[in-house]
Amino acid sequence: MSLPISASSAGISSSAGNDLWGIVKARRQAQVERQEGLGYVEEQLSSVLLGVELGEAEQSEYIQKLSGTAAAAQEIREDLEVTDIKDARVSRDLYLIKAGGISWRPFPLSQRQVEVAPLHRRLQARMARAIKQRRKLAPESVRSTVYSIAFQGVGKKDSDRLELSGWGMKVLTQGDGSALSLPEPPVVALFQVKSGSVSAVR
Amino acid sequence: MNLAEYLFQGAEALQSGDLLLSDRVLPVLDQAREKLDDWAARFQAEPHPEGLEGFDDSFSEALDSFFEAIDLLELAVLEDVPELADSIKLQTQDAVDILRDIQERAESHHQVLSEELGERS
Repeated sequence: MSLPISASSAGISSSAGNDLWGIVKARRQAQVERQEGLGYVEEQLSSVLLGVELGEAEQSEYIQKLSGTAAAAQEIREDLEVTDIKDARVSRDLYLIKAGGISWRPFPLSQRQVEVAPLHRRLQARMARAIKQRRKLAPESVRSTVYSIAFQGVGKKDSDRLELSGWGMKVLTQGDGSALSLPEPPVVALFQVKSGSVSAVR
Repeated sequence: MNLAEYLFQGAEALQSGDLLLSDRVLPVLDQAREKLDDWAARFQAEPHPEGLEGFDDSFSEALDSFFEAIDLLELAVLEDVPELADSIKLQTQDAVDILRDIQERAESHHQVLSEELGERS
């Protein structure tokens, strides 16, 4: 697995980066210990194979136990069934909308840039135009404008899917928790986009 | 869908910026915890015989890794912390690797012992 050269360049906080390296180191150590542990099993079995410690009946028991061990490991790894995650997953393409600069760009949530699908072009143009016209207005005014346009774009028939109660504006923080430095006015909206419709992230 | 796939896909969802609905994810995670608890109880009730105790330790380690991944996913969903996605993947991969190791070793030993028994009979 490739890891980012530095946590900060990857867009995550230094503490998160340290945690990540700590986990990697712990994992490597655990692998070494595990291999040593299983090596111990192998050594024991070598003496078993010499026929020193086990009679035929006991050896049969070991064989049966090993069969169960392999089956259990496979079952936990492959057959521990849970409900499919797709029903719990809501696609959320993220855009930053700066009232001062009309910039549209994906919001880096982690070290990877978020892949975004194009926002519905007509809706995008209308939102950009509306925000541009009100660039000197207070955040509340911008919010109501975006809210109104988004409603037009979404259509109320989709309201059950999009949790409209969570709509609103949000001043964003970066991945490390620090506040974004914004041009005036410092108004940012974060929207989720799904199937051409848009709503603000809670 | 199995637990490992669920955890990997959950982490993928977080990394790609998707929203995971807590009211749907958390019950699944609780369900998974119960199943893992059942396995842990089984291993405790029926430990491996002398010479094979290493498998008990390895199973315990694998289950712990799954528990850790589940806890991290729960935290990520509840607190909206997508940065935990990597850790979730690492813990899940660790659990999968350990279980694969156990299976391969057990199958290998099983084969050797079976051949040995066949020769003795």
